[in-house]
Amino acid sequence: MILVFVSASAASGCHRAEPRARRTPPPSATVTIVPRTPSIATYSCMQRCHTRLPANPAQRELVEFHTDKRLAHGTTLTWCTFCHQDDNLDRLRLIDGSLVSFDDGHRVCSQCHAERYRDWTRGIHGVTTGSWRDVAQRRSCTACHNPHDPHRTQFNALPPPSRERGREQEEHHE
Amino acid sequence: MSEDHQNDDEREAVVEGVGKAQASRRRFLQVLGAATATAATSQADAAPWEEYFQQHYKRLTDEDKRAIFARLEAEVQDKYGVTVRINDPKPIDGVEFAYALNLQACVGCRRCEYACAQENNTSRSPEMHYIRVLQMDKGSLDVERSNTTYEGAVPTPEHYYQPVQCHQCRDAPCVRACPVNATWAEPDGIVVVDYNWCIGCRYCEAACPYFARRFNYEEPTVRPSEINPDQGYLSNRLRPRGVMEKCTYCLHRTRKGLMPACLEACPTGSRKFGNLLDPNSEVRQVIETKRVYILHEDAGTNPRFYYYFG
Repeated sequence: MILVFVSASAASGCHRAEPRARRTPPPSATVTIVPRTPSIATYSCMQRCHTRLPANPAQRELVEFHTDKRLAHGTTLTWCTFCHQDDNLDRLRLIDGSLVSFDDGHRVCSQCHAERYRDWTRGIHGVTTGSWRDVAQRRSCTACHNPHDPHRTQFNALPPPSRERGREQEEHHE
Repeated sequence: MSEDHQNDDEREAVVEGVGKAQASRRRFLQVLGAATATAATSQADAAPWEEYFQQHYKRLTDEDKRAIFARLEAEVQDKYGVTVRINDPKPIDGVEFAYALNLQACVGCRRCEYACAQENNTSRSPEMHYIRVLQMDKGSLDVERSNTTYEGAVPTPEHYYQPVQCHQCRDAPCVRACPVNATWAEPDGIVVVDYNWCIGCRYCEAACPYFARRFNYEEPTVRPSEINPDQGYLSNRLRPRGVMEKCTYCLHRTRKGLMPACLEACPTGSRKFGNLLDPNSEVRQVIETKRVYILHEDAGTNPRFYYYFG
């Protein structure tokens, strides 16, 4: 009996070690980053307002425009011009002074959040949908996170299925 | 020959045996029908007989499948007035599907559950969901104390959320438990059910340590307007009463290159799906670079579903 058990376990161990013959996997999906500008309601800032109304770079309380924006992003980001270019508000600026489009907003984020950014480029963090094999669409950071106030907000869960609600009662009866 | 292969062969033998018994019974009944001239001959009455004598999926020829799919499509048309297309995408060479789920990102909103129900035509009354989201106490991995009936605003500061669905195990206890081989693992790792071969004994349900299998106690009901017409024979076609069903990683989608419905619905990007054999796939990147946690690893099921942190 013991012998049988040993041989069986040895056999299954051997089976597990055996590499299975497979063909090479199909190439993974080509990732495209979903552009952000079409979903920014007030874009383009320059065309809409700021050619007529130059931005005031002075740090102050906003009372007339952008009053819905609450800046609560860490302790170092205290004013708009840290990320926005004041004389061209259609562009974001990196720490080295170079300008990037809102569609490349993730480059701004990556300056501080390097590890998250690395995970995002590998598809570990963030939303990637579409196809695992052909073309996948990846959302940029600000599609999910509000860059002005990135704290996660609560929202309502969909209700549990009725079956799940009844399960506790069912178990009780059993 | 390994233990696993022996088991497979034994099971094949069982299926063969059942098939032979059915074949001879079929001949017997045909003879009986002809002799007494009482057998139903009209087109309408033929369908239940064909269904009753339908062979196991693995023994169906392409011609058999075409006839069966046409019959099933006609049945749905009759019953619901909806035109559906039943297809049977094959496993892709060099592909083994796996899932990874970010426990730090999931907020427990249950969007995945409902997207799954919609995609997979699961019964709305009684309501059946393949995915069950556990609300877990922070600092604990004890699923016994989890809550599955939470409502309202999520995520709460005291909890994290762990969605559980079929883990598509490499050593699947459900497959071993099935007495008639109505459930098996496909070459791409997806464990499927032949709904026409299942006898509804629920042994697989009892064997599954993830409580991932669902049984149709009653006739499943789906509103005709809500039926997803893109149906896989082994996945989301409409099921009858008295059979088991389960998550199939949306094989009617994923074998065509798409992502599963639950992943598409997730607002947090917690869900990652892909080919485990491809070193560049998202799931492989997760496994290679993140802390990965396997639910009920001690059960020895060796699942293709990984939870990760970060």
